[in-house]
Amino acid sequence: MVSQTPGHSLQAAENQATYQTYLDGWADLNQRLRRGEPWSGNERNVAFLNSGGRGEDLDFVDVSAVLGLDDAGDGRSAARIDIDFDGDDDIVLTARSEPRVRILCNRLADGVPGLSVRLEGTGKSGTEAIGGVVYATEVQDEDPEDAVAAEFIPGRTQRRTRSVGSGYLAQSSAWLRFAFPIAAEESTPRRGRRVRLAVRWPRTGQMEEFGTVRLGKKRFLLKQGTGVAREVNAPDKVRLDGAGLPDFDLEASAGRRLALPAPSSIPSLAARGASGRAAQLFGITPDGPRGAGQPVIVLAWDSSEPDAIVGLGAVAALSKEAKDAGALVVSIDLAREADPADFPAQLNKGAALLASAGFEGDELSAIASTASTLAELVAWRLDTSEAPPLPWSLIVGADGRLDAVRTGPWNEGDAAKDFVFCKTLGNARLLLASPFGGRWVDPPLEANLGKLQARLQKRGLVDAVRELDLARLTTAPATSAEVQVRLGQTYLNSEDYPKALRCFDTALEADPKSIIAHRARAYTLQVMKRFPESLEAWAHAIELEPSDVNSRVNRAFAAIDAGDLELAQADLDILVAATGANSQGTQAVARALTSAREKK
Amino acid sequence: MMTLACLAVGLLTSPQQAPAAAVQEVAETRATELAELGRREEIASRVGAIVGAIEESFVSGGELVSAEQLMPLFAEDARGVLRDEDQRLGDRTASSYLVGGPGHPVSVERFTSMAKTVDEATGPEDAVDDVQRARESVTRALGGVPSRATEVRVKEVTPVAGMPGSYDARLLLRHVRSPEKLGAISVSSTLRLRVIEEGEALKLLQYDFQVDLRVQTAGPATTDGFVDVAGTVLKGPRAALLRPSIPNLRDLLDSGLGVGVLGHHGVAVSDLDGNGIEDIYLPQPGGIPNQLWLRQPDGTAAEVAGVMGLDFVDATTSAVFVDLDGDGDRDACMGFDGSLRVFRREGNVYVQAASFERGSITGLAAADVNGDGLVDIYACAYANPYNGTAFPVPYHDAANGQENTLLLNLTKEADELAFVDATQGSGLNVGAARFSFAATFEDYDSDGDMDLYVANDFGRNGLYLNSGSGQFTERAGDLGAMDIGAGMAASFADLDGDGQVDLYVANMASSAGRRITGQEVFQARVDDEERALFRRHAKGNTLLLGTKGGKFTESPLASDGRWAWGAIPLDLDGNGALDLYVPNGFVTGSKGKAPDL
Repeated sequence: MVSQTPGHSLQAAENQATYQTYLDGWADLNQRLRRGEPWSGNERNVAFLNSGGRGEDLDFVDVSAVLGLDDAGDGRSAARIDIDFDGDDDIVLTARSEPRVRILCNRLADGVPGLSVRLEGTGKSGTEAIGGVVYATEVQDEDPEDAVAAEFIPGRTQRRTRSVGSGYLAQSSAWLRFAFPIAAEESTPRRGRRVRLAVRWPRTGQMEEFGTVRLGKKRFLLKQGTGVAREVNAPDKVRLDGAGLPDFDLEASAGRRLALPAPSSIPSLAARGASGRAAQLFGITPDGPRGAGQPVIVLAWDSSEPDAIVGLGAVAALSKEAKDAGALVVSIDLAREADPADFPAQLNKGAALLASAGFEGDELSAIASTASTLAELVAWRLDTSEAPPLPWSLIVGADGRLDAVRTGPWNEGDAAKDFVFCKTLGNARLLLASPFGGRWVDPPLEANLGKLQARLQKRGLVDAVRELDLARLTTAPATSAEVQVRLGQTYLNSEDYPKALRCFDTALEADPKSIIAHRARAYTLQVMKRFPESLEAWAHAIELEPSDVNSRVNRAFAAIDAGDLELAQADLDILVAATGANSQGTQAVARALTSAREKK
Repeated sequence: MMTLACLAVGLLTSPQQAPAAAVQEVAETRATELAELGRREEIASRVGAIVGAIEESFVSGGELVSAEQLMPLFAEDARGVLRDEDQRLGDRTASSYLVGGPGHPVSVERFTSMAKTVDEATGPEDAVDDVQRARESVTRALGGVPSRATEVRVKEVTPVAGMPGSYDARLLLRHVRSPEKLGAISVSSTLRLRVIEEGEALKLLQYDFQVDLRVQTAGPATTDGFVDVAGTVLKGPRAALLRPSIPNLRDLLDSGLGVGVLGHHGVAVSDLDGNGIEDIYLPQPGGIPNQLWLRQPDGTAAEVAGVMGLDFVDATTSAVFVDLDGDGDRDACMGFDGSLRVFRREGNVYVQAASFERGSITGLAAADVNGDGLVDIYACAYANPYNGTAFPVPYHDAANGQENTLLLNLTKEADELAFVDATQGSGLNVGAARFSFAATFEDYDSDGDMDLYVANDFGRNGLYLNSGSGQFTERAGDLGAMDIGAGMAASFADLDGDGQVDLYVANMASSAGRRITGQEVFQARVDDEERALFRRHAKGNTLLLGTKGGKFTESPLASDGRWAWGAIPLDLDGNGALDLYVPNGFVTGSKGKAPDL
């Protein structure tokens, strides 16, 4: 990929020639990753130990292999923590690979005398004193000079900063830790070792001395302006045994069920029965999706594959559970006739196998592009480049929309569970689809049909692509809001304000959160000199998108016209913060505000 | 996709539009180049396989142990390599020192490299001897046979001038032995090979091995280092949800829930229940609720994200907990795939206070930028080429991503959080669309205000100096902190103990990238400066030492961190000097060969 990137120093012709290959390179890479192929994987994490040497003697050496820090997983984020309350640095590590979390407890530094401090700021330094720098220097009791030495003694003073957010996606401990090892030449630690603490507070930049503390106490709170390091209680050290995260029972061998967060329209599937009559299952018509009036389970398999019937699993139980739930079961055989003239020889073979396994349902044979469409539907939900091996099952609701995709064999009781999806909509449905609970900030209420369309397009399945176009027209309530806004803008341009206003009102009925409708409505009211209403409308728009500069500028003008100079000033303040004092909008508002004040 | 479309138009309508024939010619040259690179990568992979097989035999006592068994790997005109005293490791000691806590010393020995001569009077038997001698020296350095598979990384493959079909390869090897109840030993070595294509086969011409580094712990290996205690702290079915890999979760959940492929989910350590013990918040992939583990004095923890309103199911990359309104409790800011959200703390519950639609949010950093005493927030956005959002152009210096955001804190009353996007007004919009992964604040010039460093994938990083009022100027170039590369993360810390703050930038050090960008045929027609940028891109992590004048100087130390992500400074061994821990690895797959850059 690098080898195909366009460059600064190349001629346009060359860039043109390589650009498409470059994009193809990315597409290829992304497909490989989705297929599960590696890319710089199995790399062992690295731990560079600092020699503590000064100048030329500074050295960092990778010691990960001898310290248990060389996990070969795909490491991501690491944060510093004291997990066992012994005062040394432990690590929380997240990864893409299993296990996705490790807590690496430090046994290496056990027994090293040290101390931890936390900062508490006041005023401009902020309560959390982010950016505060702590200097810790070990001082000799006997040496009176040390007590008044400079804030920083190279090689002896340790410097730590309180920060929030560093490394990758990580927030580390607020406790700043200092360690004072026993010098190698000393066989027993000296008693009465002391550490001098000083803080440079953020923003004020003031250096504050906190005197000396005895090494051996563990935690101190340094409160701005007090000059005294206050000892705080620390939990007793605990001994944590080595153990990885508990196992998670994936049941992957039993196949998997992917329940869509919301039912989705799908293109039609063409098939024919033993009589030779062709049928269209599901699909999208100008009136909306086409359903069977009852839920349907589609079982896609290939009867010509060895042991295919075994791979389907408990089809008898499936048939019974479907019947109890008032649902249909349909099998679609993707096997080809050895000779097309023999039809329905292979279909009958498959049907016989199904019957012997206790399957009760319609048996169909795939025709036209059904096999490809099915494969793309399954791969689309799995977000992989290709569908996994057969069998696949689709669970389609009474209204003809896809509810869940299943791969692998059926087990007893599966179907009964899956039908719950066909009857549940909205948030309740979402809860079922994400089986581990939790709350959404931005729920995925629709399947991304664009992605499916792109897949079908790539396969050249033109009819299916066209059907999905219909889906976009017949569903999505946003469409009408969009149309109304566009219509309203036309009226606005021809200065027919009442009509424009009606359109925007209608748009907001369809989608009360349409920012563009709120803005357009606010602007229209402003032009109509209905200032109080306009202000209210701008407030809605700003609430939905607080950072939109144009809304602020407009509201400031509306506020000036309405005589609310305080509100205008507040907007101006925010505009200055957001875009600087020199931006066009800011200056225009500032000028208008000044002249309004002068008039007063 | 918008960015992409504009970009393509920009490239295609350039005034230097060339005739179709020229385009064709360029395409053909490129294709030749690609084919040559592909051929050498093929050699690299075969070299790796040969050495891997030799090493596997070494550990397992397998097929390639005796001279007779090794002989078929060598060409008839293979030669032995002469070195002075290369058996006596102790004579080559360049430096040695001890680090580590009391009773847990770690000894480090670095060895000098020695000039070699190829003895033309020798033959394949002597070359085979070189393999045996290498084994002996490893055995001696380890005090025994390796106890796990040797790590083999092929760093370079270059054709030998005047010898068609022949290549020199440089490999890095690491042998590890951790005998029961004794210290663990790891030995790092360089292996230089010359190989030649003989028909379908690839044969060895020279086998030249040198030990570079030995590190050793004393005392029982099982207790001296770091132990994973996750299962002791995090227990129960919620903890089990943290176990399956991203690919396994993809098998389990519908793609509409947003599991994703790459698994970029961070961690936040912060005391959220005020018991004086810091808790652990774990952002999770889509479909798995984020988790908050409140830790107890006995070392255990309880998962309470649901109770505190923090169990978001949306794919969440990062979170920071910090007091945003000065009322003494910690509010929260989180990065999602598509939005940046601020949550205020009300009692023991978090409630959304503001939301900004801002593309894919990656790293977050918090500090007061304008001196009003309120903590502001900087959020990185990563236009993701791995899901087709935007593609970096050019690869090594791209600025066509999504913009990062500075949220200025305008809160006036406690619990009434108010933020405004001040990216434009603060000057932080300069170079803000460079596919950023992480950012971090530090008053690096000690002038009392918070400066900002931003690590960008596909190009140069940004160092933004604060004027004091929250106005920023990008100065990475003239301060020596640009570090062109695939920046993944950055941390400020005084790493050399001189009182000046230094910078450690995690980058992508890919062996494959190094091999490819090092080739003379690679991007043969771009100018040298641009080629140097490509090479640098695969170089590895960067240690930038701060100096008195405010400039940074690049140190060659601590560079080989592989495909690194969240490198952090911390004191691993308790010697008072800050060490570096580097999580790495991009995607470990289940099948197929690793494709290269």
